[in-house]
Amino acid sequence: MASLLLLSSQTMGVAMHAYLSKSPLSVDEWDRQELLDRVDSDQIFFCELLVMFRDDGPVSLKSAEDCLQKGDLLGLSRAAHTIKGMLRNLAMHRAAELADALEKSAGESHLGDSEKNLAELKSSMEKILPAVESHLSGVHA
Amino acid sequence: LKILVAEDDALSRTLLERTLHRAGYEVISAVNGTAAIEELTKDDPPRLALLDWVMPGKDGVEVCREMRRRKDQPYAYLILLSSRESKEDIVQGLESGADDYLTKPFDGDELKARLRVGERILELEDRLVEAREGMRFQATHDPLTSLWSRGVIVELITREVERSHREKSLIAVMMCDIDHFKSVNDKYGHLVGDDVLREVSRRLQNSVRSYDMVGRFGGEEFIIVLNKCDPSSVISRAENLRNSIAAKLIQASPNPLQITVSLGMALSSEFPTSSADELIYAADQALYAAKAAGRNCIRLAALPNQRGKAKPAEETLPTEIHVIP
Repeated sequence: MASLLLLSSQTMGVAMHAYLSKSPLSVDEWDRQELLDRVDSDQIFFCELLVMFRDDGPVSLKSAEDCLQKGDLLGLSRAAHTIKGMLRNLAMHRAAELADALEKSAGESHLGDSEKNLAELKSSMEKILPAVESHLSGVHA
Repeated sequence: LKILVAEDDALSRTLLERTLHRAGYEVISAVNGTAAIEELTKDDPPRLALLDWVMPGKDGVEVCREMRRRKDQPYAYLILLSSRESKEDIVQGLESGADDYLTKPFDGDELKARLRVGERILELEDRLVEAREGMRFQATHDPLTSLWSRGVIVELITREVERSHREKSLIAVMMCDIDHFKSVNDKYGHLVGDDVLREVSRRLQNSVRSYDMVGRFGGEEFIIVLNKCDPSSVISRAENLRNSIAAKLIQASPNPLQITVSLGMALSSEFPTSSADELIYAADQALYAAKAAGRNCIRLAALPNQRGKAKPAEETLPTEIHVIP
């Protein structure tokens, strides 16, 4: 992280531009430009947020899975809410919609729907996380 | 301006902190509702707060409710942040005591604009509080001397007398009168007389402790209450008051003036069942005795069965009292 923050903004800008044009995710999945606008084109901060997501996202997802396993639907709804907030802030819209659906189904105690929604959310995040990782290593390289 | 961000999600919190830092705010962060209330109820708390609705422990709505219940805090402008967008949610959020409601993810420009609204409301509130405090001061203080006004000091004495009965503590009520004040007015004019009244008031006020009280009783008469006195030093404290006026000339135009005061003092220990009015009456009688004794001196009120026979203070307590022959 420290070395990442030492990169100059110019270097980051070049890497960012290259990445934006060749990302494997659609704009619906991850609107990187929207996120970049949200952080006033501060690429260092952009990457800082991605690092947080890379570290915290899987932890929150695991927490949601644990809640489902224990039948704690209220906890599942809360975990989904946290994930939704994270995803919305990062302009990862499709996954955010899935987290929203999970929050609602768990909040309404619909176990079957919650299992399905969590599986879909997990699958979506499993697609996003490598893209985030790849972005970070691309910038770092 | 300080602003509180209460948000449990680290990523959202970081995003908010950065946006607010860039907008020039001093950001204080809390990770749950309980910590938010702690921050909002400290000394010199942030007056603006962004509260996430869903947080562990107390949520944003509960924080709003609790803050609005508390009347001991300066008004805080509370903005609820939530991804809940339904009309019912917004109504519930505002009904809980929030001043505004913002949906997540927030838009930076909209957030800053709403915070400026909050700042305007807080400025208005500050001006209203200041005006109210000004009016309260005017209603309770004498306009010339800024001492407690007569009505207020009598009320305060009533309260303190009741407390002294309850706690068996000693209070001293003193009537203080500027000697020959009429001749100051006659000789130098009323403006100089006002200067003398102000300076005497200032010296009396500076000669007592913060929990003692000084009020203007009327004209050139003052009333002083010494709370929780030590019986062995009450006379010397009264003597200090007298001396604070006599020891130094009062600077007035055209010449410095030698001003003195006479004091009549009633001790609650001498009148253990008396009301505030009776103590004031006793102190007033002692003041007449001090005037009759030549002024610039102190007289202690006698016991109720000896009323009208106020004694020189030095006869009652073993302390030297300065008396002008």
